[in-house]
Amino acid sequence: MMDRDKFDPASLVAGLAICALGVLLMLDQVDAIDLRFNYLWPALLATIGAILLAVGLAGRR
Amino acid sequence: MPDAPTTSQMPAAPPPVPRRLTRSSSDKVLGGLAGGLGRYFDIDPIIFRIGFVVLALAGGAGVLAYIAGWVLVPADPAAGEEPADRSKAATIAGGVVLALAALVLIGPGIFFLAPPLIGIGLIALVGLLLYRAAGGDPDASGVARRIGLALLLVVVSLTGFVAVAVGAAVGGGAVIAGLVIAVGAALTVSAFIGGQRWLVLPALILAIPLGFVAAAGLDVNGGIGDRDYQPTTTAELRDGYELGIGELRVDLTQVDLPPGRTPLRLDMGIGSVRVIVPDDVCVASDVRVGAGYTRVLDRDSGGLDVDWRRSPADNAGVKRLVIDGNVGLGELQVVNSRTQFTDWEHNNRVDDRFDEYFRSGPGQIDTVPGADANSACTEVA
Repeated sequence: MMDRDKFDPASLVAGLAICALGVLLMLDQVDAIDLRFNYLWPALLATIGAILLAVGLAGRR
Repeated sequence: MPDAPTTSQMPAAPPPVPRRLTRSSSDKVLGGLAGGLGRYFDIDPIIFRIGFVVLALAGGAGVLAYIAGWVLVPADPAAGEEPADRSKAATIAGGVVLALAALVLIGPGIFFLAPPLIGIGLIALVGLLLYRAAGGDPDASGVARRIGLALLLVVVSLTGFVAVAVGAAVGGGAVIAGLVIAVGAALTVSAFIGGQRWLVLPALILAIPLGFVAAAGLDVNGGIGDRDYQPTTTAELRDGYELGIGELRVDLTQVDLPPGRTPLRLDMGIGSVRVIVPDDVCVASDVRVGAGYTRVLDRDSGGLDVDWRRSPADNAGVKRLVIDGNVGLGELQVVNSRTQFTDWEHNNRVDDRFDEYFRSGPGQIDTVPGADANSACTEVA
């Protein structure tokens, strides 16, 4: 059973956002997509924004 | 004899109040940001005001920096009010960054924000680290130690950025992408056992430079240096030329190309590719430049994400050179004469193309003033 005191939602959101960014980069590396700056900017901003928002809403630990 | 006062009888000094950076409500011109910075660093606020104005005139970065500071730095708390929680600043910053992501996605015209955003982001990151390092510690030696550690962290991060970028450019991109996923997964799992938020930093140090290298299509495996090729016969002419970093010059004016299609592949990681073709050759091109400039005879384009295909009508009997160019960071130029590589003119064209890109997005192709059109495409030999 999950210990609620030890659960950190900010780490969960940040981890998932970074995983999504990593998958995007991996898809480019295996030539499944062609990543360009037009899509890199919003992807990076969305990842960093999601992390900041999660940290802000979850509070400091 | 009266007792001398002892230390134990002296009134206890009040506990030191942690210093916080807030926007000044008493010394303000706009939002009180410069006043607050001056008070925090014990410097005349006019220094910060001049800095903001100079940065505002230098591409508008000062305006964005001021707005960001206005949003991120809390105002002076009212009397009896508790200072704002730092997490509110992170929440607002997150919302602003997400809104920017949406704006950038909606229209490339918003891209004019990108160059100042990079600088502001880096400055804000360094500033935040130093602020967090100095905040709340009244002991001067402790502040110095923590600022030193923060600066060390910045240096280590920048070194990591460069190392990762080099690793990705020499072919290690898939491994690095795998590491990003692994760190993300570890962070996700850690959420259930208390969280390891510090993992965000190494993840971003891996992901951001890899993203830039991938978006630019950088590949520096072709060697380093300058290369000159001047084939005199079709037998000497290769199918392709490749260079990792440097300048690649291919002079085809001595080659009598046969009628019909002659393919030519040009690959460059970081640098310049300059090709001279005879006047009687029709040039078709498929050029991809991650960040930089390309010119094929009388047309040019530039900026980020340059994808340019030019395929004139394939008339029978015409000598047709089909260029397949790929440049990560740099330029690819195809001209009819060596004298057309004029640096002054070239640099101005590059600047113009980048300005154009940030105004209206990729895909702008322009006519080079004074350059002759490729008349060979319409003439049958």
